[in-house]
Amino acid sequence: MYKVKAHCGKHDLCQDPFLTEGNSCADKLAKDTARAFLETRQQTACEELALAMSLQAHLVHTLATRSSLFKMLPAEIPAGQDFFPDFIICMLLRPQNSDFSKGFCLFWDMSPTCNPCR
Amino acid sequence: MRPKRRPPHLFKSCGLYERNRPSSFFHDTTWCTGIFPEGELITQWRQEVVSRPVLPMDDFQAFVPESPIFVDGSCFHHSWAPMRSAAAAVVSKCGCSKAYLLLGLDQTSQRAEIFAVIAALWHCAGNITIYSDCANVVNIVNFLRCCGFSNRGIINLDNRDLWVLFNFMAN
Repeated sequence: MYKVKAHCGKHDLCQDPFLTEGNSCADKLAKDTARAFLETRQQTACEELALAMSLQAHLVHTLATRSSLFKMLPAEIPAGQDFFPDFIICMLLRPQNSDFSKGFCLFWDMSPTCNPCR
Repeated sequence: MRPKRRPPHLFKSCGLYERNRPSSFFHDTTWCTGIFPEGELITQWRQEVVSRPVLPMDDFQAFVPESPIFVDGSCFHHSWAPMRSAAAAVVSKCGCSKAYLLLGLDQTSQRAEIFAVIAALWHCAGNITIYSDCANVVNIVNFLRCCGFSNRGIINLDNRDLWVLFNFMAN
């Protein structure tokens, strides 16, 4: 068994082009297979995460609203005012796009979804 | 006897609930009780973590013997275990190629590289030349070859389950 240089480009002649070509093919095939599997799961994962987060937001919102109501008399609450603005809840509901790279950001930060204008 | 009074639940009749609920698959129970049922993804993943990587019988010695084989493994590691994905690929000079997903709880690029070597042994008979870009796997395989592919050589190795499988295939 022999070691070949990993991810060696065709323009880089530090290795036999035959070895480079074979290594590149194997690398691409493995990556494509793993990525295809990940993409099949990504949509489901996004939906389930969005669902869980929207539920959490709903619970927090409801509890916070109720606790704030306990502190103030009904007459003291301005009409139509909630404890949290509505867009905080709405933006947690679902990813705004199905693109792989952008949708994947959902797991790391909420920036793709935290846009109250959308 | 007075009828039992049933006050509305905390999350019933909530305007935000009506505006925000995803309509297709969210059950009323979840919103009313706060209990989140196990999703499809987790159910599927639970099945996979108890599975062992399997090589199909159709691929047994399917490649041309004495052909150089290139192997590689790839892993998309994620902190959320159901979103991890690892695959191993085998490519021969004759143009044959196969790729396999790695199932199981422990998915790393190192395991994918080892499994790729196992898959190469599965596909070819006789003496074969394997090329891998993983120095650790190459060193261990060459070490095991010196040991006559004995299981005594893998006692202190990580991923011992795969190395046992490798020794079995090599013998």
